[in-house]
Amino acid sequence: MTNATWRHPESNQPGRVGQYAGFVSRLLAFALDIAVSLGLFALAVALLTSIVGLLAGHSYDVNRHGLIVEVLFGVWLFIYFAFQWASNGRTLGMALFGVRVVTKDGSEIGRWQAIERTAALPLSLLFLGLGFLMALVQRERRALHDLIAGTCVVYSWDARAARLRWLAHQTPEPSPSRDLSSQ
Amino acid sequence: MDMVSPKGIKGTPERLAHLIAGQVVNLVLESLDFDAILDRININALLQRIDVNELLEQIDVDVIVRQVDLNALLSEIDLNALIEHVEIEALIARSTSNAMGSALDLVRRQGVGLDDFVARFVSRVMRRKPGTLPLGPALLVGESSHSSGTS
Repeated sequence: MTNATWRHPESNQPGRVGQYAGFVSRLLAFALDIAVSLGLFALAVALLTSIVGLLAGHSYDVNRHGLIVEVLFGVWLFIYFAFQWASNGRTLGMALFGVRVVTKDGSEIGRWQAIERTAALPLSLLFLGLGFLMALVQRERRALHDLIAGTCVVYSWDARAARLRWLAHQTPEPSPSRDLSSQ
Repeated sequence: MDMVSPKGIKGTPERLAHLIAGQVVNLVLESLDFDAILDRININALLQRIDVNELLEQIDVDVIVRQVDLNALLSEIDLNALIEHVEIEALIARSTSNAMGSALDLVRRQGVGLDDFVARFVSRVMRRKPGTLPLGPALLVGESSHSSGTS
């Protein structure tokens, strides 16, 4: 595990960077990750089925080996989440919604912590996602798998800076004459 | 400089004077070392003496523009060659990148807005006092940072 504190490039600005991420952003990021991983898995299965069908000379029915497919999907999900958390501290969905995983004190997440978090993730989904709903009421917005792995999710994107950028886009550009006079 | 057409010169003395003047001018020009003269001129000092603003005020841009034959000018421009030199791909990539960035900001802003709404609702339901929740991990936001109930 690395002890380096994660710092955002704009962390010197007042904003949301480093604050605990909210439930909705986390939920949307997770939903996107599930959709992406499911899509990639389905694509891979379709490709593999086509290749096997071509080589064997007859069509191959994946449903006959449903259990194997389910196990493979579980393994794929584990790799999808664990690898991205270990290497970047965030998944594709988390990157899109501007959140990332850090340790509970704010350091970068380590490899084993990423694996631990991924292993604990199914526990959060049990009982209609009760463990995940803990992020709604827990003081530090940590879900069950966060509490088990000693992690939390923070904003890695500054909403205030983005708002200022957006406002800057709306402001009309200064006239050339003003530019000249200011030089 | 006014040019005097040879056709305008009448009579032998005038022609002779013209020829002599031409020869003299040529001799003077040949004897001058223009590089040495230019070396002695302080261009910066010369430019400093020019009041650019006053110069620009004296220029009537409208008159200049009216004298320009835009149709003739445009007909001489090879637009195809011009377009070939413009980095269209870079322009498209830059504008696409800006659009993507704006879309990403929009999506995230909506997410944060909903985060705040849900957090406020939960705080109200749980009767939490504003400012009692920690903002973030100590290393990232400091030890004493607490939320005001909106984030």
